[in-house]
Amino acid sequence: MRDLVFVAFLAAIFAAGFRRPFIFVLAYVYIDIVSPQRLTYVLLNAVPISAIAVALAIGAWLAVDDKRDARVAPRQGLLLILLIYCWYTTLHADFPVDAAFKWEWVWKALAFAIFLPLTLRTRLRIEALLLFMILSAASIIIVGGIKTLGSGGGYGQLNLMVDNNSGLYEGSTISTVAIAIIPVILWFTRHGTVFAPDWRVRTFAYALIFACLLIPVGTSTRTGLLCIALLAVLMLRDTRRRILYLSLMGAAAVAAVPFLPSSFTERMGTIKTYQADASASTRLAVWQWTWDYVKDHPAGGGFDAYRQNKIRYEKVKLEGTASNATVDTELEVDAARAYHSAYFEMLGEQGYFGLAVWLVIQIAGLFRMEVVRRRYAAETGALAWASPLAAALQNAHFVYLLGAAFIAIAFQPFVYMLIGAQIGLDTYLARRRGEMRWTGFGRPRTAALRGAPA
Amino acid sequence: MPGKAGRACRIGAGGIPEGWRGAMIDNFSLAISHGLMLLATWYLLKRPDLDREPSPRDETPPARPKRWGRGDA
Repeated sequence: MRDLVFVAFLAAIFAAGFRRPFIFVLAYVYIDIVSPQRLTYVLLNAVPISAIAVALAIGAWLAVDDKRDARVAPRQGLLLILLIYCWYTTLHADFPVDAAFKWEWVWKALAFAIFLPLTLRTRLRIEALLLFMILSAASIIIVGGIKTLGSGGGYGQLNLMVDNNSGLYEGSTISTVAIAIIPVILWFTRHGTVFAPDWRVRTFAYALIFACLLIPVGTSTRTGLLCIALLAVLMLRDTRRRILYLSLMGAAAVAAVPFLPSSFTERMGTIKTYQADASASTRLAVWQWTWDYVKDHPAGGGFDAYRQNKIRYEKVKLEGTASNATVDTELEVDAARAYHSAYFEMLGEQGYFGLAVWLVIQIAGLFRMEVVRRRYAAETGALAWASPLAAALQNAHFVYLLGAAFIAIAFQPFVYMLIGAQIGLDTYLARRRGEMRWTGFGRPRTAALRGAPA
Repeated sequence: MPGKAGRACRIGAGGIPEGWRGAMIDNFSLAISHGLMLLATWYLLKRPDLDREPSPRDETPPARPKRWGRGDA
């Protein structure tokens, strides 16, 4: 039954795409995030729906979309360099079979991030993209939120519809992404136009934000808690009544503690005693291994290079009271431990150069959003939405970069869509500025611009 | 829907598999998110500014020469 509903839904979206080709882009976004083929048993698993959607999206863009004034941002060039470099390291990978397996989805995420901004020519397209990203993620987040309310969840316990732990269905990843999209959801409550902000939109948005905040509780991920704290600090910047905001945040935090499940509070308590925790200790050991490895292999070991690591670390445990404590140290040995950090993932797999390009892409994103944020801060007219959107996308990016310190999500496709939206916003506003300048002078400069290569 | 889930939960103690409640939550979440995406698609179909925004660069008809005293500027 569920299979038929999914097929009908996709058929409707694809049919709409034939009326408005940009909807094919939205269809791909939806398929990539929700993976409906993994939620069904028959029908969809047999058809390469993702490939069909991307072929239709690119084909429609090439065939019918308006490509006048198409602008390419330097970051798209950097993404292309990263794509080519990853291809090179995959050819010379330490584990060619595993590397090829990861390359298969990484190149798609990067290529789509390069393509996406070219299609974002109107404000409505940027909004529609973000709306689909949020609603697609919401299908996982609502499940997680309700199940957390019902059972309290637990690390690795929360059932998010599918059994395999990949994409956004992985606990730590969804808890970071759920917190990262909160600023964007809030933007929709003020500046959305597809669903005009009224009490229904606000009710849904606040309920969804509540569900987003429950995800780190349900999955008991420490990273998610850190992300919530960072977001609370970042949002202070856009708050007018800061004292009130801080008081409310403090009150909400205190009020929430009694309702938190014990599995969550126990796990959060291990943030302070990280040395006694195998998960945290192995991270430090793996990071040390990666650092040593890249000294010998400056170009990195290709995807999944971590499989060769063999680490020994000491687990330190304090027992007894503060005045009478005994220190237990246990020697633990482990092998093929994953990076648990996007930064070390990039360093170990793509070497110094790959990490540098990746970092420039991230930092340039934060910087460009800061520029847009300030440039349009005083805007009250048709572009009043631009500065708040840049602020939301920047905050989302900051949260991702913090979460990425503890999870290996350097190539998470959802984040590359967010980066694509940032570039799209930037190039859209650059185009608008060009048009404004043009109206300032009587002489049309369009003839020259139209002749320029797209 | 939450009411139904609650009922399933109570009966669940008497023998209905726990998975039923989970499946109901899954279906509720999928229905609400997919329903909203369909609705958004419907609205997008009706919006001409999805593909094209009015721009100062649009071809404007050449201004007619103004005459003294009749200018409408």
